[in-house]
Amino acid sequence: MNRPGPVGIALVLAFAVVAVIEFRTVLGMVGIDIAIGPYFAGAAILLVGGAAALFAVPEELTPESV
Amino acid sequence: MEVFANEYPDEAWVVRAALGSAFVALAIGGLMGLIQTLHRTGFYDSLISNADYYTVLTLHGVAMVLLFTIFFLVGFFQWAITDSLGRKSEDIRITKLWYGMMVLGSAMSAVTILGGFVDSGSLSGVEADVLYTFYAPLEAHPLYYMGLAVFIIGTWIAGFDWFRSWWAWKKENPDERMPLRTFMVLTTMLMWYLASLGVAISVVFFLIPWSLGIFDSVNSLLTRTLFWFFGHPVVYFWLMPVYMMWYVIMPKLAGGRLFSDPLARIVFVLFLVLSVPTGIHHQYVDPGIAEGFKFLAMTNTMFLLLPSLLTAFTVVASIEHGARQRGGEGYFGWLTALPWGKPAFTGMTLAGLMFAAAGFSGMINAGMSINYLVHNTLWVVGHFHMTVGTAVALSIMAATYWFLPKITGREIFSRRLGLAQVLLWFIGMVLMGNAMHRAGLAGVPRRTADPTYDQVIYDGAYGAIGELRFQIALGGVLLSLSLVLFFAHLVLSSFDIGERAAATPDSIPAPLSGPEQAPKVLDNIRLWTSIAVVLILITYILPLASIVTDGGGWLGDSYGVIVAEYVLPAVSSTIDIFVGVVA
Repeated sequence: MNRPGPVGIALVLAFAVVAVIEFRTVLGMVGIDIAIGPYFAGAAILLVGGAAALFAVPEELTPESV
Repeated sequence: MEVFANEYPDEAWVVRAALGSAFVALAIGGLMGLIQTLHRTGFYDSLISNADYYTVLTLHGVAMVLLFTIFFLVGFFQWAITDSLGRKSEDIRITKLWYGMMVLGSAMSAVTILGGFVDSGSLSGVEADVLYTFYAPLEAHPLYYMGLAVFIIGTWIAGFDWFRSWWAWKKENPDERMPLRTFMVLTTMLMWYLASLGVAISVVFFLIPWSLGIFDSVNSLLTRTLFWFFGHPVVYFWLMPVYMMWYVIMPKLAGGRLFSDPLARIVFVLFLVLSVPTGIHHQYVDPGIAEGFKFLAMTNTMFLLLPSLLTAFTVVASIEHGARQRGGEGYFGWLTALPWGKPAFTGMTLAGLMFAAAGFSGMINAGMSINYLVHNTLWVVGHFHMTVGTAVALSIMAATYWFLPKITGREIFSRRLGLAQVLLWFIGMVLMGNAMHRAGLAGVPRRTADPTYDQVIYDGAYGAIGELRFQIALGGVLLSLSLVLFFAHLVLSSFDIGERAAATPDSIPAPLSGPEQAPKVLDNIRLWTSIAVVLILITYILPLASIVTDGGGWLGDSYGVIVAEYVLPAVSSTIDIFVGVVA
């Protein structure tokens, strides 16, 4: 499998932010509560990671960057 | 073949103007959205009063769901008709007329809404805090309704303008099949003519005379039903151009071709036939309508899932074809071969994904029994922010990155910036939309400036309301940041004049299964319109008759007053004159 490029990483991290948010809901449904502090900190780190990946996206697209 | 902007400069001017109007509305609506979300969640509630919240809410709704979407639609449709038929407007003055009327109508309504912020001076008393769902008993200034009427008449003339182009093209090409984009535009406009008839009757015959003081009251249930006659199909009026983007632009961006032209036509025929006779599903909790009529509306609504499922199949098949042309392999490996680096493609794909999620919450709304649980809660707000706020708005913004070079003749400023914008919108809307759904399940009401649910802890699934409010506020802020990026992108693109001209030529590739595979009956729009009319009559005649006969007549309480003060004296005078003449 090809290594993901910066666009792929940014996309995966965007979905990861969403997954983290939803996962807390799912855990809450089975009675496991995660403290809000680490939860939002984790989501924020993923968001920053996605933004950093975007900075590495070349303006002129090549097959490798997709 | 030249870029659209150079080949059709007059039409491109109208398209640019319409898109410009759409984006002005988006900016205003977005700002109102931010104020609203921070006020309602309690994070910054000192900017406006609770009373002004409803002015903000009205402006947000009208700007976003009527002006932004419909202005973009008319611009996009003008491009689609001109480009697919390969001909200029029959009379560019008519084209400019309908655009001018839409601007005038918007300005008239906007003045009355903005008047809600003014407590004294010349605008004092000019108010329209009636939300975008403008039915009685909430009453607005007459100018608000008149503005909306002018705006809607503008869209009707636009449709007529496009029909004229098609009629002229058909005369010259009698044996040709109607181009797909033209077919999509015309079926959408036919649906719009049927749908907007309800709100036109409500506005012209009831709301304007009532707001002018000619009637003391109106039959609220009647105006509400006439509004929803239009209020649900207007959703498809926003969605159908987006479906056109998904059918026409996405396969091209993916490097492939549309999987099936006939399936696309079937989808638009189904929308024409089924969109209008569903509006009563917005009135499940309305006690004035019998359950049987609601059941009929629910059945029709469930049928409407079919065109959306067909679209999901066709669009995914088309982009998979494109991915495989680009070297993609395997059951899921082809996904990595898609052009995720293009903001237009990524934005529209994420919008489609969110639309699938919104479809599931839509099924909850459409079900009569379960709708009662969520009807007046924030769940509904979450639902339509994921449909119109993402499937439509995000697709429009993403498509703009593809569309702008066509109508301006120069490339967009930065793909990186575009990607950041669409991803930020996606994350912001998931945060906000998800939290709104969950808050709705917990019973948080909609259309309220200050719901007093602060820090109520709900056991189990829902988490603290405080947390949900935080997620809604955070989502709203991220969405606003995304809007700032979008507008920055538009401005920076416009300063890039002469630096990077748009690539030419840029045609839409032929579908894998073309129009020659489609039965000719699909192009018989008279037949489909007639079926739509019959379905509307079946669904609406009896409920409307019941509302009028059991609900106090056409004008509610003032019906008797009108008859006693105006009709009977007029009849009596006429008889006296007649008797006098005879004698």
